[in-house]
Amino acid sequence: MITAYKRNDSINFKIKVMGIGGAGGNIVHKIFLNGLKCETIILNTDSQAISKQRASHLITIGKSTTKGGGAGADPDLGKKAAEESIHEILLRIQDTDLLILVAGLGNGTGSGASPVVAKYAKEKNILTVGVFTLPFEAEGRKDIALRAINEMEKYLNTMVIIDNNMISELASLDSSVGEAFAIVDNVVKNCVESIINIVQETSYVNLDFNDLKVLISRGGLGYFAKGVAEKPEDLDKAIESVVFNPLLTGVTINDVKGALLYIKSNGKLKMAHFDQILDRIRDHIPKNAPIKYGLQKEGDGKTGSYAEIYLIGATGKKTSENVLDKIANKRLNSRNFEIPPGVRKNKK
Amino acid sequence: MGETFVVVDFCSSKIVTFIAEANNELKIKFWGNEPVDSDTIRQGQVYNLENIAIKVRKTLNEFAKKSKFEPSRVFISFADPEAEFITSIGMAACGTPENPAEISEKHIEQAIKNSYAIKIEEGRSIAQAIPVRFNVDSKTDIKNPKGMLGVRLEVESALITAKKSSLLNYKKALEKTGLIADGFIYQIVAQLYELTSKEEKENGVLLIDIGRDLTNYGVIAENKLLFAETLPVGGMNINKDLKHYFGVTLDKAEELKIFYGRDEYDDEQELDFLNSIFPPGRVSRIKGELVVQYITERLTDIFEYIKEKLIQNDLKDKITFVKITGGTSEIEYIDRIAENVFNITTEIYRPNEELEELLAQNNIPPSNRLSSSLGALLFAYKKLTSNQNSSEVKIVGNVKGFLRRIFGS
Repeated sequence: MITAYKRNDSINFKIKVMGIGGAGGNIVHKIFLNGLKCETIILNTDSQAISKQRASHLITIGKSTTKGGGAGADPDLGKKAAEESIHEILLRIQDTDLLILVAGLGNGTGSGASPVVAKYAKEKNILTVGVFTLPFEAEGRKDIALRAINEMEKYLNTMVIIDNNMISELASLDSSVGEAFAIVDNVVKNCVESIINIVQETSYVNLDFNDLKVLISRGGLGYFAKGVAEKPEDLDKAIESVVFNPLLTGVTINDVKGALLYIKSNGKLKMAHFDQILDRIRDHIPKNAPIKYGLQKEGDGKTGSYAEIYLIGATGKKTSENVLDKIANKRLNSRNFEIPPGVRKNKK
Repeated sequence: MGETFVVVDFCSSKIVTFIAEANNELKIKFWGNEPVDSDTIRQGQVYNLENIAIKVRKTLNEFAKKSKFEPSRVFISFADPEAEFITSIGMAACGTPENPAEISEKHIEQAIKNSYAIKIEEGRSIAQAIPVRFNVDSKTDIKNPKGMLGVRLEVESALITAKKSSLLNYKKALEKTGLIADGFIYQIVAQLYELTSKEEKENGVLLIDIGRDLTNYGVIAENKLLFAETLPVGGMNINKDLKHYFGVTLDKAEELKIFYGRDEYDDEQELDFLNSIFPPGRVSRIKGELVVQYITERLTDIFEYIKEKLIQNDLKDKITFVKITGGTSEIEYIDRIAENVFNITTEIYRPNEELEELLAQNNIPPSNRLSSSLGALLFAYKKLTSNQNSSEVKIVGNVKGFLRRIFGS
C-alpha cells in the first residue's frame, strides 16, 4: 500500500545536525558548506581541528578535561569532556524538534561524547537520529565502537550504521584513500539530506514531520538511501542506489517495515518514470509495509537532476540483535551478497 | 544387529532425517525430506524450534509406525555463515626416550582432546574437530599412529567453531522431538570426505555446494582438510536478482532460473514456457540471454569470491579439481562458469556407483539437492564403524529412553 499525504506548510520544524568528534565534524562541515536547510553544530575536544571547520555553532568541549588537545582515542575522556560542557550543549539543542547526531565511532570524542548527548536529548524528549560510521577492521577499535552503539540504542529513536569496511563495495580498487573516505562522507550526508528534504520541502504530495516522527519512533536500525538520475537514462541506476545501499550495516531494504519515499525533480519527470520508481522500490519492500511518498513541487527545493530519490525506512531491528553480532564477528564477509553483482559493479 | 543412528540435516530449504543402521554396511532404514520455509530455517539458522520439531517428528513417527527403534547416536548436520575453520595442535606423552610406548586409542584421544584446548571467542564453541595429521616424534604426516612406538604424539586438528547459541538451538529443536543429539557435523566437511574420490582428496579438490541460501565450500589436498567456509549466498540470490531486473515474483524467478539454466531449448519450448508463466504483455520484458547473463553474473561473483579467499589462504595452488554440488548445480552450465573463474577442470558432482546403488535401493533420488544430507549420513556411518577417533565433539552422550520421550510410552 502506497499512500500520498499533504502537509501543513505553515509549521516550521527545527532540525539540527550535530557532528561529534573529528569524523562527525568533517561531515557536518561539508553539510554546512552545501547549504542544507538546517542548523549545524560541531562538537570536538580538539580545538585545533574545530578551528578549521565551519558550522552554525562550533563548540570545543571539555576544555578543562582535555585542554583542547583531543580525547586521545579514549572514550572515557570524550565522555568526561561532554559532561563538562553539557550546559553549553543543552543550550544549543534545547529548542530542537529533530536532532541528527553524526559521528565516526572507534575514537575518543565520537564514541565517548555521542552517548552523553544522546542521553540528554532523550531526557529532553527530542526526537533523535544517530548516523554513525564504524572504524576499519585494521584500526582495531571495533570494541570501542560497539560499546558506544550498545549504549546509544537506549537513547536514540533510530540509528544508521555505516561500515567503513564495506567501502570496497563502492570504491574501485584504484580509488585514492581520500576518494574512498569521501564516499563514506557522502553516504552519511545523503542520510542527513534525506531527512531534511523530506520534512522541509513543500511538495505536490507532501510528507511532514509527523510522518517522520511516526516512522522513526518504531526504533531500531534505519534504512536510508538516495539515488540521483541526472537524465532519464540514469533512472535504473538511481533506483538501484536506493534499493541497494551496501554500506549500511545490519539492514537491507527487505527489512523495512515502513518507509517514506520522497522524489525531487527538475520538473521534467515523466509520469511513467514516476510510476516506475514507485513500482520498483515497492517490489523490494515487504508487501505489508506501508510506504508514504512525497513529490516535490516544481521549482521548489531546486534540483537540476531529472530525479532525486530519497528513501527512509524503519526496520525495528535492534542493533543488539543484528549489528553487534555481525560486527563483533570478524567472519563477516566483506562482500554484500544481497546486491546483484551487475549493480555492484555499476556502483564502482 | 548394528547400531541404529539418526542424522538430521538442517538445510536452508528442507530438513532431511535419516534413520540408519551401522553394521558391516550402511543400511538406511527410513528417511524423510521435509520442506521448510525461511521463517523456520534461514541461512542455516534455526528460526522456529516448534516447526522444526514438527518436521522431524513427522519422519520419526512414520518410521515408528513400521518399527520400534532406539537410536544410539544422533547427529546434527549443519551449515552456518558464522562457522569458522581453525587449526590447532594437541599433544600427548606416550612414553619416555628410554621406554617408548605403543600408541593407543587413549593416547590419540588425549592428543585430540588437548587440541581442543584453544582459546576461542566468548560465546562460541567447538562444533566439530577433525584430526588431519599425526606426528610421532620426528615422523610427520602419519595417517593412523595407532600401534606405533613413540614418545610424543602430536595431532593437528581442524576445528569448526560456531556460536554457542546457534548450536544449542539445533539441539533444542531436536530435543522437542525426543532426540538428544550427540554431535555436530559441518555439512561441507562431511561432503569433502564422503563425496570426493580418494584421488581427488590426494591431488587437491575444491568442493562447492550451492544451496538455496548458503554456499558451502572447502578444500582437501594431500588428504588433509585445509579449509571450509559457509557464505550467506545461494541460489535464492539468483532469484532475487531476476526479481530485481525483471520485476517478477520470486516463484516466477525460480521458474526462469530452471528453464534458462538448461543447456538447450528451442524457440517453441521457450515461447510455450513464457506463455505458461506470464500473462500477455509481461513476456516482452524477459529476454533469455539476459536471464542467462544475470545467472552467470551471480555465479561468477560467488566463484570469484571463493577464488579470492583461496588466494588469501594460499590454497589456490593446492587444488587441481573443482566439484560443484547442491541444488544450484542443476544449472547445467554451472561447471563452465566455474571453470572460467578457476581455470581448473570442473565437474558437477554425480554419485559414484556404490552410492547410486544405495540410493536406488532406498528410493532416494540421485539429486544434488540431497548431497549435504548424504554426505552427513556417510560421514556419521564412517565415524561409527571406523577405528578412527571420534571427530565430533560430544555434547550429550546419553540417548536412553528415546522411545519414551517421543511417544510417551
